[in-house]
Amino acid sequence: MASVLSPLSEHLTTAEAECLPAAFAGVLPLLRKDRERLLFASEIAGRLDYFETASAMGDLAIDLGDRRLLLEAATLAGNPGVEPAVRARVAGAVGTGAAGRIRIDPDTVPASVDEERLHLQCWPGARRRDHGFALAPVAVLDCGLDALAALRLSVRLDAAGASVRRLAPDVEVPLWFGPESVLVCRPATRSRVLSKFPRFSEGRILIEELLCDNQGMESLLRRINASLGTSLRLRLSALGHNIERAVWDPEVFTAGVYPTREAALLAGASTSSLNHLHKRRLLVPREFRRGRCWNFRDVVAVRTWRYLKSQTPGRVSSNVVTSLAQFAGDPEAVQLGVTSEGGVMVNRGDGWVNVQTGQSALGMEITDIDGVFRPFKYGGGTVIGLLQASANTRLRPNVLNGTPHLNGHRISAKALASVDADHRRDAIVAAFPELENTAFEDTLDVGLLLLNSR
Amino acid sequence: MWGCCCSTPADVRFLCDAVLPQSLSYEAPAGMEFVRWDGADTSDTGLVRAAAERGCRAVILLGRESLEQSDLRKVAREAGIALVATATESPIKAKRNILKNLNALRAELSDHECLLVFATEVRPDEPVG
Repeated sequence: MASVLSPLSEHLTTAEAECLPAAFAGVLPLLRKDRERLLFASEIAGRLDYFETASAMGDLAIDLGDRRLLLEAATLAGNPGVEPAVRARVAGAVGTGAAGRIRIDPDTVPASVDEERLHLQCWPGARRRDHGFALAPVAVLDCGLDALAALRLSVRLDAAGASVRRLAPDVEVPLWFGPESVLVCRPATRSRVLSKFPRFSEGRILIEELLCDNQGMESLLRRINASLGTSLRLRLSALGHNIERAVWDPEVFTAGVYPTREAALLAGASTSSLNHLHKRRLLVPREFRRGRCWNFRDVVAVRTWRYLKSQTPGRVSSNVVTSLAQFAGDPEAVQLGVTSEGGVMVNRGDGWVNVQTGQSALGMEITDIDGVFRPFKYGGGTVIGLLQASANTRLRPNVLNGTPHLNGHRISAKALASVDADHRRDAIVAAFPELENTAFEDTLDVGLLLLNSR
Repeated sequence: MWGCCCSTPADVRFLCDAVLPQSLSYEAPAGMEFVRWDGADTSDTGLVRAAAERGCRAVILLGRESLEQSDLRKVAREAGIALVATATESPIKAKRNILKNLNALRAELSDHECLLVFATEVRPDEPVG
């Protein structure tokens, strides 16, 4: 399913993503004579909780007398965003069978172990921590979030084993909010949910402006995972090895080998700035045979300082460089932040804590390091994204010594530029035949930037 | 059993990083085998572990910075895998230098765990400090 949905979600615009549920509803009747494709499309609609398709799906199921399709429609009809008339129609077709009734009505009392399991899967607000079933965690996404970002997040959540629900505005809050649910929403939706479920944990409510890029998605998935607690986790490994470990995992954060010029470019600083920081002993790079080499942590430290300066009109303490350069990483951190006074803060899923003092952050302004990794303007220019310098270019400190590389391949941007600086695709494909059908031009540009920084 | 029909038990097998040109794997002389990494963007230590799983003697990496990773040296030592890096960062020159220094490479591998391939020679590479 993920292999179908991922490419789809990567090539849509926000406007197209907004229309996608309606498009599914329109397509389903066209598939009435092709049951296999009809069920496949219905399953996708079900996994994305496209409740807008419930009417078309229910009508088709009733017309065709298709029980499997009817159960899929019943699941969608349980979403409070579905019009009552549609729900009633599907409920009428389902009849008294528990498998259908449970999907539509949370008040249906399960009469067997299987029915209880189904009930808890459909209505996670009824779960207790000790229910004894192996059930999928539930991620509820506010329909008011950016449609494209929400679609991309849904696809990743589905691949990671979560059940996705979409909560429409102005509908009754359903029985979805229990100990194994996470809500990603805007502030207004938070209030709605908490007024109905006052005991729902604040720690599992993530107020987000969703970002479409991979970095934002990965960061949010790790936070969702952390908020679920230790007993029930997403299968982040299914999304690739990169997402399993945050860059501030100690083995990753302290990795990387960057010659001074490359470190300076990635940090958004000049080589003289780096050397000056070294002279002041704020940073201590390793001595390398051909000069100094810096690691990812050093790059992040300098870049963060630059970023804070770009965002703050006042003075920014250079303590932030020292603090970050001394931070060894944290395997449990799902978010890393800094204060303008130079404090390093971690969020392990239960709020910000100062790594040095262990104290919680109250009333402090904290800059999320995620912002530091994105491109930003400084000194009249734009500093390239650190973890994603261009659409197809990634940086992982523990891959190819941390130099930017072509996503999905162990081929560095610098190597592409070394093979052919003149953008002759043939020359590069001759060296790396696996790239024949791969877009790499933007990575080649990053490589040229790195080579020219020497 | 050996994974390739053209190899013999006497072959020295190298796992070449994907950043080295594909054609390198076609130009190995008798007694040597170059297997090019065809997987995703796994970590550097993951590549070394993959080399061990594939029965390789060494991993060939691009650029001398590769050898500056202390963790990588440790993992390679534990896995019984030698690390070979090219001094140049150009994949085309790297391939040329490797093919020019095959005999030296094989000879040095028996005594050293980290080697650096230059245009005309192969030198052992000991960590600094």
